Amino acid sequence: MSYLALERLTKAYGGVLAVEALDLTVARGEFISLLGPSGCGKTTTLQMIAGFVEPTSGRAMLEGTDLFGVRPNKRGLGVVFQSYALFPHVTVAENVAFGLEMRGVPRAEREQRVKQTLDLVGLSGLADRYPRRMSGGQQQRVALARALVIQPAILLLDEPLSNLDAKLREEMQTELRTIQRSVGTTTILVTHDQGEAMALSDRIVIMNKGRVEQIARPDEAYARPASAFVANFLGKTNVVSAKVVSEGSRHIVDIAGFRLPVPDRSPTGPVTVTVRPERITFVDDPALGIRGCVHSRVFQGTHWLFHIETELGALIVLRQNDGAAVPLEGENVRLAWGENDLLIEALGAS
Amino acid sequence: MTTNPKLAPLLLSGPALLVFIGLVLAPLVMTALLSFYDWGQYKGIVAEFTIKNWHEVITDEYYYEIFGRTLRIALFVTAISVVIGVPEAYILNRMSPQWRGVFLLVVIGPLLISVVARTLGWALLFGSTGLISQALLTLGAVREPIDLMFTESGVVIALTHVLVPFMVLAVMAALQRLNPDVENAAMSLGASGFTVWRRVILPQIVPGILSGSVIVFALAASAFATPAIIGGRRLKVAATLAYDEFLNTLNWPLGAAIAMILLGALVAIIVGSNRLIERRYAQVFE
Amino acid sequence: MRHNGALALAFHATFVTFILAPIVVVCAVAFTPEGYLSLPTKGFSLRWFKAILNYPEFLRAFRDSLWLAALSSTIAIGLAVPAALAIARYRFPGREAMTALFLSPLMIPHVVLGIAFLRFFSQIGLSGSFLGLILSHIIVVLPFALRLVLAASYGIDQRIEHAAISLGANSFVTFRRVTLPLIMPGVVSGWVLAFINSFDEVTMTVFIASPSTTTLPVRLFLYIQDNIDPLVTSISASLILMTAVLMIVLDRLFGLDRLFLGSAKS
Ligand SMILES: Nc1ncnc2c1ncn2[C@@H]1O[C@H](COP(=O)(O)OP(=O)(O)OP(=O)(O)O)[C@@H](O)[C@H]1O
Ligand SMILES: [Mg+2]
Repeated sequence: MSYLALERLTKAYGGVLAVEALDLTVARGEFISLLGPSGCGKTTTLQMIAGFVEPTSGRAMLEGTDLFGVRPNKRGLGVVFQSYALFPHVTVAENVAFGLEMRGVPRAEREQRVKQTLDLVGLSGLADRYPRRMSGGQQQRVALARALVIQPAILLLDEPLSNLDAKLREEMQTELRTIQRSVGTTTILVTHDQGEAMALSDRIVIMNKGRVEQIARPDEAYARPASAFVANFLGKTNVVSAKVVSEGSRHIVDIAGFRLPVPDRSPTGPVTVTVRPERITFVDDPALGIRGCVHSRVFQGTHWLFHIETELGALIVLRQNDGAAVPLEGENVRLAWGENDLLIEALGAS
Repeated sequence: MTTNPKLAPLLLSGPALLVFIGLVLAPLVMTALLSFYDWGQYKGIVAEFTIKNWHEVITDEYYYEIFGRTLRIALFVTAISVVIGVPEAYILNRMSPQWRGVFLLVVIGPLLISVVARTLGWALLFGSTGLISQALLTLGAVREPIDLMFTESGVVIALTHVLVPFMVLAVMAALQRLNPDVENAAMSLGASGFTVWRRVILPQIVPGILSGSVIVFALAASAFATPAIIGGRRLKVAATLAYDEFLNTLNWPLGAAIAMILLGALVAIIVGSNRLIERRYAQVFE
Repeated sequence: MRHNGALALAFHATFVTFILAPIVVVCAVAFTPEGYLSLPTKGFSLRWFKAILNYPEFLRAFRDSLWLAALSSTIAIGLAVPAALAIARYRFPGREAMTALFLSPLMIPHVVLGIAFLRFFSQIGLSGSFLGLILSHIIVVLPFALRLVLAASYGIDQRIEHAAISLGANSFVTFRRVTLPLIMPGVVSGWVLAFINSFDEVTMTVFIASPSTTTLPVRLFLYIQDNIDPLVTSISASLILMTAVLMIVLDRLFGLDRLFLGSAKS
């Protein structure tokens, strides 16, 4: 049984649909990420759940009760804002204690729970500081502590890490995941960073222009993206045009003369094919694959990144750095892939 | 946010709205009506519709002269405020923060001092035995003692003193919106100091100068205490004329007509010039 | 070339002299030991400051001015804070017109306001009353309060209030615990500016004050119209000194330029 269910949630600003008929169910304790490019409606979705944006239509059911019938201050959700939105005029401890005060928690218990939560986020020594005099990462922790201390039904995080530098962001990701695991709070995270979404979540919701493109486990979405948009958004990828023909009982995809059998449900006719750079291999067999010429190669530590000129256009290829020799710039190569590495869509599908 | 978003603004602004409708709109409407009432030396105010007050103000040369003087004074004050206020604002803006703080206090601070006290200072300086006259006599600049009391020049000087801080403020605000790198960029392209000023700075602060001018003009045209003290009973302007009609002659309907003309003219000028400024300089304001 | 040249500094010195001259002269003459207007060339005397005490009507007017300024600016700020929140937070029909109405006393000449209130109060039986003075002063000082509170309200991040609501605070608690503390600098400076403007107002007040309820600037103005003597200079000098002290305090607290530049753009 689902814990939170969003049913055909829609928000229109004037004639513009910021969020369109969004369906999503979340299980208790699950970590969900809303992922998508800027302006795709992530914040709007989160704000509707939190109660700061009035939905145009649709429902949000939390354990069977309609959330939209409850005032935002009675929903008991913890919200962490991108800007942290800390109360600048009171100390860290008072920030964290605020929600408990609103719930009439007695002072002694309040102090104890504030201390516990500050310990949890690693801020024990800073209870009496003012937010202005803290680093971004520390402020972020305060915001998290303030939301967690009320033991929220759901934790809503709107790009909580986007103001941090790369290294701190990575640290906080790990920490966020650890804390979420230990507390077990159902969490919805908004982000436009696919790495963050994939690293943290049980499932990701990939959104585009107000619509859901795919809801899946991170590995699943990466391996079997529902569309070229998802494939592209989840990492570097190659998109080429090709055609699918049916020969006898079989469907064949023909990419610049390199022909592979594909499942029968593939659309026939002109198609776009998406293939991940790490799935493209260099082959010696002149009967296999397509021809190309190495335009550039960049060493990235664990990988080599190639740009290869082919008749399909420039393709990117990632090759694991296993110590073996790799092609040089200007060298002619042959590229190949397996039929399971391809995502095939009818032309103009997305 | 937890209350009805349609009702909340009404509830929040309701009290102030009621006060303003009751205490601004109602009195103004009553004054406008009053200007159409009849009045006689012995019968007082009579609630009978007549346009004779308006007719009198619009046709009598006596009132022409006074409105003309008011306009002349306001224009002079505005022009002088531009000429001395703009460079001063620019100079202040270039000072180091500490000095700017000190001199802002000196230049802007007098706005907080009672107009009566400031005008009293000019009354002491003017006059045939006043400091200005004596200084000029000592320096040999004049032969006869000069008396600026009860003259238009005196009113213009004192009013400029009272109002020029508004010009400095408006231009300062415009200057502070400028990107300092632009000045440096112009200089790096080979422009001299004066060229930078004329070609780069001035065009950008023109909106500030204009809005400062509107403020100074409006306040000069409706000024009361300063022209009353420096100009005295003889040198009347629109505001002191209305005051005399109300509190000395007791011809309220005529005073109301004068007030309405002053109000109408000023609102037209302010709204009109603001429109112009906004349209002409929309790009500069972004 | 970022510093001011000699010519600029000479201009600046002349300008500052022009600004300070009448103020300095008033203060200097106030210390004269003579019975007539003169610069105190033969020694300073506080005689004219002591003389103020012999004019209870000036002392009474001073006391009334303080009360009037305190009451009208407090009421004005009480009206301005919710109005500013409505204007800053909500989009509703008539919002622009309402803002223009609230700011209109800045544009209406004070003579006209004085005449309008004189007529209005004489019709509703409030002529010459202290209540009438308070009501009219609320109107003229509210725009100053409103502009500073508005600037403060636009400046706060609404998500901070959302955070409070998400933690369970209702509208009132959110206002008292979060919004109000955040706009407090604007509220305090708005109150101060309103207070000063009420205290200094003379043009409108001269119409509606009566001999029994009047303000210090009005009494001073009426006195000066008849004759200028060292007494008015000592009273003016006292006002100037008090304002100067207040000014320095304000500058320390808020920064005078912020107080004014914030209010200069409407
Ligand atoms: N108050 C508003 N009025 C009108 N349109 C709005 C409003 N708020 C958001 N929108 C529009 O709704 C769409 C979705 O906005 P939203 O803030 O949810 O995007 P987002 O996915 O959070 O983007 P980002 O990653 O930039 O934060 C955008 O096209 C935006 O322009
Ligand atoms: Mg967003």
